[in-house]
Amino acid sequence: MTDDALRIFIYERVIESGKPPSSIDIGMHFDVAPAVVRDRLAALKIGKTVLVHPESHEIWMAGPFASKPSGHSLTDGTTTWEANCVWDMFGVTMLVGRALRGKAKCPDCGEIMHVECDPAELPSDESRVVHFLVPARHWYADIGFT
Amino acid sequence: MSLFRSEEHLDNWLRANKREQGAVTSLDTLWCLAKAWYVVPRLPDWKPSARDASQAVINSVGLTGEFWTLP
Repeated sequence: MTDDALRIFIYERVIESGKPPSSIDIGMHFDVAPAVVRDRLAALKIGKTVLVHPESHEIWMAGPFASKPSGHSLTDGTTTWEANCVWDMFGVTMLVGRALRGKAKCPDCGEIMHVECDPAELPSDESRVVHFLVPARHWYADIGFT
Repeated sequence: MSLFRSEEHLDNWLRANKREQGAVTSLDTLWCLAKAWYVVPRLPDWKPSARDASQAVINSVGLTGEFWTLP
């Protein structure tokens, strides 16, 4: 189970199923114990791309995919993917490689907005705005908050 | 980062939460940023982007200045 093989498996699985694999899933695939997988995940040095949850030690995010609902989801009608933020919604579309229907909740009024996410076409909506609260220099200081 | 229905909704939210405005972009700009940022991490030869390469991607879609400068 090399780092590259682990990374490739994580992304193949999340793109296919919508969920990052658990340590049990990974362990079964590579025939290693889940505890060994969790250690490897924690030590995985691939930038800020794959992060593990500090308590469960399972995959928390495999950027741009989130492991849990965060208010930013996409579907093709069969599979649902969770994104970490609206930027990552488009990232999911780019990695899945086809048009998906996205949903995001307006933080002000709570209304669910439908966002057409197509890797080959710019979005057409001009009234909605994207707000970056955190400057780029602090993006990775608390990635969950960002 | 979050998506708001309009600038009015963003202003309401900033007031209600006593937050300073950060930076505002369009969905088009964000789409361009995502397209340039997310190379396919399941490719065998994928490597994390170096800081300067990431900064170049951000600047390439017109996001420049102190707010958009990586550490």
